[in-house]
This record gives sequence, C-alpha cells and structure tokens, in this order.
Amino acid sequence: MKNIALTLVFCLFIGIFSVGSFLAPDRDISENENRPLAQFPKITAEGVAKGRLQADLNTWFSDQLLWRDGLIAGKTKLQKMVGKRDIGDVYICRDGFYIEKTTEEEIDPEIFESNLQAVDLFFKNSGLEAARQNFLLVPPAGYVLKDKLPRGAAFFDYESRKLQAEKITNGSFLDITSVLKKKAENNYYKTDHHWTTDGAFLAYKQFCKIKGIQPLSFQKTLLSDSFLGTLHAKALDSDAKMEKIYSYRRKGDESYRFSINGKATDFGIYDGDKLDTKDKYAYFFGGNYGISTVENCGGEGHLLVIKDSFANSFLPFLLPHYGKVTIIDPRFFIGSVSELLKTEGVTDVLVLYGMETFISDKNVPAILG
Amino acid sequence: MVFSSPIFLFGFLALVLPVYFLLPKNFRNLWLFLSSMFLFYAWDMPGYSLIMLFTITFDYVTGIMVADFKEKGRNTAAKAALIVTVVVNIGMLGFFKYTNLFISNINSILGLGISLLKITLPIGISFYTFQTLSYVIDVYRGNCSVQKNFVSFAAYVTMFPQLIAGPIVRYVDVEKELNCRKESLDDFAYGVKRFAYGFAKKIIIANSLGAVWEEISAMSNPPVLTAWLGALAYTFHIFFDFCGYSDMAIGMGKMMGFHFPENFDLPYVSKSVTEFWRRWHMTLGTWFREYVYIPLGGNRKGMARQILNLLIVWGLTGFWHGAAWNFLIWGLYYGLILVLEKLFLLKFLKKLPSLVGHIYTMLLTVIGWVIFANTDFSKMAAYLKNLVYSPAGFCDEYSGYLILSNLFFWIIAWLFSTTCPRRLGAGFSRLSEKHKIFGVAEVVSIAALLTASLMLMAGDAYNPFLYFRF
Repeated sequence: MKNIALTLVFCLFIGIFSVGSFLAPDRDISENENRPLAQFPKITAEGVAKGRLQADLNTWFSDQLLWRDGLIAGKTKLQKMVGKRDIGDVYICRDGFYIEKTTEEEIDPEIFESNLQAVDLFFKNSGLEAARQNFLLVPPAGYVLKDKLPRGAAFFDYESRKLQAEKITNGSFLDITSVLKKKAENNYYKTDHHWTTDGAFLAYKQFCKIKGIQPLSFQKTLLSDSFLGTLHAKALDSDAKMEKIYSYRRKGDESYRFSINGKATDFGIYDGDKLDTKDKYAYFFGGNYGISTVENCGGEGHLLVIKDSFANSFLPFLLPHYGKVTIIDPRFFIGSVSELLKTEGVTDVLVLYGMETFISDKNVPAILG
Repeated sequence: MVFSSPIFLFGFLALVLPVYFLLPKNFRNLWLFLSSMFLFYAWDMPGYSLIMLFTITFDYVTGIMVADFKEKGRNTAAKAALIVTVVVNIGMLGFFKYTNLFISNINSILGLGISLLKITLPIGISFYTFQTLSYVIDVYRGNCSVQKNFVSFAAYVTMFPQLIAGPIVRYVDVEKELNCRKESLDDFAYGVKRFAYGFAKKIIIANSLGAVWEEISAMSNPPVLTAWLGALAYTFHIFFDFCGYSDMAIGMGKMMGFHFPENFDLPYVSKSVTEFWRRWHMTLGTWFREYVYIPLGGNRKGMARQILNLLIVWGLTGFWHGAAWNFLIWGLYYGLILVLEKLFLLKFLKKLPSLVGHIYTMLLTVIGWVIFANTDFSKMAAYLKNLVYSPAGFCDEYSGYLILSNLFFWIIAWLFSTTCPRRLGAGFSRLSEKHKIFGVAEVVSIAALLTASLMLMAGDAYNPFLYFRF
C-alpha cells in the first residue's frame, strides 16, 4: 500500500512538471529578473548536430518550468525558515531592510584607484576652476545602516575608501556621509539598492551648504506606494513589504526639455509610465542612457554630469540652478567627453556615483576619452 | 545531462521511464541502450558518443574472442586479446584525459611551445572504460559468461543511471539482471525513496555547503576558523554531492530492476583511514583491488612488495580523479597513511578510545580534501597554511556569521553523516508495518523532500539583471 503511494507520488511529480511545463504557454519575460525568458527553440538538424538545440532546450526548461515563480519564492521561504541570512547576494536585515552584500573580497583595489585617478584627471582637463568641480560618492546602505545588517555580516570598508577618494581628488570631493546618517532609515529604500528621494534631498541641501548657495524649495509628492525594487528582485522574498516612492516637484519642471541621445522625449524628466511597471525608480528620467540633455531649466550655466543611476533622484534638485544640463553614463556612452568639454561651453562638472558602482565599474576611465 | 536539472527530470525521465515499462520485456535493454546513448549521453556531447560506441564495440568483440580462445584452450591467444583490450581502453582514456597535462608539463620543463590538443574530455570516460575493462577481464578469468547479445552489452555500458558518475558497476554485478530481471512495485518504490534522498542530499546539503566553500576559498587570507569552516564545507559538499548522485543512480537502477552495488557507507563515521576507504567510493576501491592490486600480487609477495603495490594502487586511484598533479599527491597521501596504518598505526589506534581514532580520521580526511580541492599548488599551500596561522587572526565576526547563517545545513550535514538517520529509518519501516500512520508519514516526507528539492533546483536558474537585457 505504502509502495503504491510512493510510486504514485513519484509519477505525479514527474508527470505534472513535465506535461505541465510543455502544455503551459511560454511566458515572454520575467518581470522580477528584468530579462526575456527563453522560448521553445526551433528544431533543426544542424542545431542538433552542433548541440545548440540541446543547450537551448536546457535553458527553455529552466526558464519555462511550471510554476517557476512560485517555486523560486518557495525556495526563499525555505531558506529563510532555516535561518539563512543572505539570499541571492542580498542580506536579509532588520526592520524589513534588504542590503546588497558587497564584501571586501569582491573589491578590486586597482579598479577603484584607477577610477579615482581618472576623475582627478578629468577635473584637471576640464579647465574649470576648483569650485566648479564636484565629486559626490553616495555611501552604501551597508555602511549607513550597518546596525540593520545581521550580526557579523561582512561588508566592505567604506570609510577608508572615502578617505582615499578625498585624498586623490583633493578639494572636489563633497562629503555627504554625515547628513545621510541622520534619520538614516528614511534615506535608503528597503527593497532597492538606491537612496530615496528624501536621502537625495538631504544630500542636495548639504551640497548647497558646502558650496554656499541657497537651496531651492520643492514640493514632496507621493508617486506610488507599491514599490518593490532591485533587492526584492534579487532575493525574491514574498515577505518584502511594498514601499513608497516620492518625487520632489518644482513649479515649472514639466517644461524642462529632455532629450535622450539627441531625440526629444514627450515626458519631461519624469516618465509616469514607469510607475505602472516593476522598475518604478525609472520614473526619474526614464532610466539610464549614454547621453541626455535637459534644457530650459531656468537657471544659468551648463552643467556636465558623469553619473550612474544614483544621480537620477538627485539631479532634479540641481536642474533649476542651471540653464542646461548634459548627463553622461559611461556604461552606455559612445563618444568623446573631452570633445564635449571643449565645444559645449560647460561651466560646471559633477561626477556622481553610488560608492558600490564606482568601486567596481570599469567604464569610468572612458570619461578621459 | 545533469540529474538535478529540469530537462533530465521532466524531459528525459518523463519520456524514458514510461516507454521502458510500456515496452515488452525483451525490448527494454534496447530502449535503455538507445535512450542512454543517443538521448542522455549525446545530449551534451553529440560527437563523443561515437567514441563510447567504439569502446563498446571493441570490447564486445574482444570479449567474444577471449571467451572463444579460452574455450578452445588457446590461452596465450586469450591473454593476447586481453592485453590488447586493456592497452586500447587505457590508451584511449589516457589520450583523452591526460595528454594535455603531459604536453603542458613538457612545455614548462623543456621550454617548448607545443600546442595543446583541442579535445574535450568525453564525459564518463573514466567510468565506462573501467566498466568495459571489468567485463573483458572477468571473461578472461572465467568469472562471468561472455555476452553475445550486443544490445545487452551496450545496455550494460551505457545505462544512464550509472554512466556519468558511477557507481562503477562491474559486469559481474549485473550479469544476471541484464539477461533476465524482474521489475516490481516494491523495487520501484524503494528506488523512489533512494532517488528522493539522493536528490535532496545533492540539492539541499551539497549545493548549500558548496556555496560556503566557494565563498571562503575565494578569500585571500581568511582567519583560521573560517579556513577550517571552508574545508569542512567542502568535506560535506563532496560527500553529499557524490553520495547523492550515487543514491539517485541506485534508485533509478532499482526502478528498472537493477541492483547496483552501494558506493558509500557513511564514510565519516570511520575510526581509521583504512576503514574510511572501505566506506568511501566503494566501487572504485573494489575495482582497483580486483584489477590492479591483486594482479600486482596484493599482499602475497611479502611486506616490501605489498607496500609498493599499495603506493602504486593509491597513486593511480588519486590520479584517476583528475588530470592534475594534486590528485596524484592526494592518492599518494592516502597511500602513505594506509601503509603506516598497516605497519603499526592501526594496532596503536585500537588501544585508544574510538573517539581518538575518529578525530584522527576526520582531521586527515579534511586536510586530504584541501589537497584534492586545489589543483593550483600555491593556492593549496596558502590554504593549508591558513588552517594553522592567518594574518587575520583566529576568527572574526564573519566566522560566526558563516556558522549561524548556515547552521541548519551544518547540523543536517553532520547528522546525515552519522548512523542516526539510518537507525531512525529502520525503526520507521518496522513501525509502518504495524501502524499505518508511519507509512503515511514516510510517503508525506518523500513528497516534501521532492518538493523542497524542486524549489531549490528552480532557484538555481534564477538570474536577475539590474537593467533590462534584450
């Protein structure tokens, strides 16, 4: 009797997931993974001979397994249940926080050093005076919110890296660490690796204080209360709570003219459509591009920004101080930054990165090209 | 194909098993051969299945020749045929597996620049070569009858449960079942249990602790305790990975009516290294004993010769594991320890409480695995040094984290290395005969194991990107 049951269990196990995976229609994309899912491959004799069809079928099966999302969420639940404190390279922290696991071992000191040297040289080549050169590195949540990390969790040494940055780019480095430590919980998303608009606003006010300019006033508005960010996608924890995402608006900011790679957009600098997708952080500027420009901002001067996605929630505060802002993301930009510096009448430069990206991104030295 | 992948479970098995049972009995060996050869083996390496086909055909023919010569009393001819078979088989294994190692060594010693051969190692060649050799040698020795049915012989060599990662099934082990076996519901159900245990061992225990090893082995100078945690993680990882695979193989074999020999018998309860090697990868030990140690003279030619034989056998055993010198060192490491135990250490250990022997064995085993895990000698030396001294000190906060965050896996790895689960399982089976509830519990726990393993397996293919990949 028991043996009949065991046989049945096995047959159901194999049967359900084989037949079910084949019969269920192929899904197009995985919202959580931000990538397309493999579709059922075409069967060709050549594909079989080269082994390509087999490899494609392996991938197809992994991607289109019946109830895949539920199974993966189940995996996270099981791992949490048995006490695992980091899943998918993300620490499961206190108070509903998720923090990216970046350890000392993962840091390549040569990359960081060469990036810092590149930024310093970039500033020197700009021909601008020191007061017009600005370097901002956003401290990681793993440092500012280190008391949320599980006990004994390893995290890379931010402070020594900050000191190194200050030393190499002497003068242009603006330290926003201390302001982000105040009410730190508000300054970083719980489920995303970016800082919140609140955090960016505090950094903006500190930026103004250091530079001796008057900060402008903005209106805080709620964009969505169902935000689940990149860290939720990495850990896929069904216990993650949706959070709020805000923007700070200013009168007239809909009339900013925003062009991406030379083409004008129809959404100003805020892409409302992104609020209906999973990647709500992309509301700010719609994402990251090689080169984009914002004009008609109401101020004076031309600011050139070299950045990663952290700048997206910070730049809206800076825009009204300038007339034109050119934004470059070295990961996607194909062109010459030094040409731009010469020909576009740039009056100020800003390099703004999240520390975690800056410490490992190999594209930074391209700004010297 | 990897056993713990959706394509194998829900593509291959879902097709092959039902067809196997629907076919009339005398077609089952044919189906086993065709599906194992052209679907399972050829899946990842289409061209290389021809190499295996050559070996099968060659040994099938020489097997008949050897048997024929012996029958006619032509013993020299039989011996010649045997020697040719051994040379060809070992030659092919040596060519595909070890040539590039020798080329790169000659290059570095003589300063030459001979280019390496552009060949990949045919999967399972180390296993199926030993299996086909066991057949021809045993035909020569008269330990088994010749197999004149090509399909049956091919089915023996290729059958998918044991083709890629063992157990090393000698022909004599399955001779009877190859020609005439009885599949039964009881055997199938037992196979399901073994398969579920194996799958869980691999996916739940082996993979999780394997990740801990990966993280620690990438550290440049871990504190001493962390280095030990890494070595321990690898110790458990390799056991549950290999044992899990063997369990799945034995389970699937049982489903189809084959009784493969056991490969592991709780090696980590051993109180001596001699005992360890009677419990670890038992089919390999048996093969080397039967076909290398005994032909060399074993222990029948005096102590000096026995020591030499042991060192030869263990050097070869180590080297069989991979085309790199650390494996040879690993083999000789154990060879030396076994010789010492044989000479006086075993007698000495027996006088001490068994805990001492157990700790002694585990210590040597863990260190042995560090040798095994590092093909790069400088990394190996650095790691061994970290076990004794590290600039980072004895331990840090992260050592504690590594223990606590993986506590569940440390505990069940330790638990399932002991005899406890076995005794529990036996008790359960006895009770389930009297009280139905225990039988129900057993079925439910198998279903739960399969589900949990499935979830973890699904998660392995989870690959999120920060920005959209199109």
